[in-house]
Amino acid sequence: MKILVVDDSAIMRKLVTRSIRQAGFGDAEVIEAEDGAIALEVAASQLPDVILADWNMPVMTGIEMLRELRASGDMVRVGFVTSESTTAIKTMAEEAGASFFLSKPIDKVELEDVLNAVRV
Amino acid sequence: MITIGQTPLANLLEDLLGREVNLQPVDKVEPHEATYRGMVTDEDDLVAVIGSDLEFAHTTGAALALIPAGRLDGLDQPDDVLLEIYTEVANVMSRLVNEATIYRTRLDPGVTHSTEALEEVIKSGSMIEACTATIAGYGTGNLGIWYNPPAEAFHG
Repeated sequence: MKILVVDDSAIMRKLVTRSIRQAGFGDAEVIEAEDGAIALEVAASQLPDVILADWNMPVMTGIEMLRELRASGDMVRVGFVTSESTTAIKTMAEEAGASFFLSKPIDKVELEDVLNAVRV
Repeated sequence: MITIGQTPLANLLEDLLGREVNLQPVDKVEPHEATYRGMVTDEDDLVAVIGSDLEFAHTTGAALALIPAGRLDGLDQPDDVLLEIYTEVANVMSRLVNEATIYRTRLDPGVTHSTEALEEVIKSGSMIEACTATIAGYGTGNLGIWYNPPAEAFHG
């Protein structure tokens, strides 16, 4: 499985990657991008199976990235890993086509569940 | 009165840091300037500040990145690396502020507000969290969260 982790914080990208390993996906190929705009380029060239994206990022936010992906016809699974947690934000993510929404700090069981769903 | 609640905060820190965290309430926290982290609305209105002493910032930063605790020995000046990681701790804690207040806020990514503006929130705002945190295996430090919504929140 190829997983694209998108977060403007390098330490948070490492933490998400660590959580992916701890959730039992030690063999996953993890690639990174530091904002939504870079993620679009990486997604187009690397074709990840799933994208785990932060919500608030400079240059292009996670929700803007998702909308761009869908507008271009890319239906890759996208989930948010964010400190955002309001119902309005979750609804916005769902309406834009997000597959899941995980709050920071990441619950490893929840992460395992959503990644298993991708693997099926 | 708005409060964060020590149990949700302790649970969040334990989940984030992956180790036991004990919190004890305190009456007063004197944050170090280097630890001020502003929280803003989508309109960039500053509504809350997270701040701590250097011990809290350094211990949580080290614990989050799994940096050996020995790195903290004798550290009495701001450590840029640990403070950068502490920013992520503050970022995750911002979730609790969102859940406790009427505002959807986020950590100020561009540091668009001056130190003076952040200090004004600390001086004039309500202290919605004040505690001593003990991070197992790392150490102890003090954390405060201050909330100061725009005046229009109280009108019409």
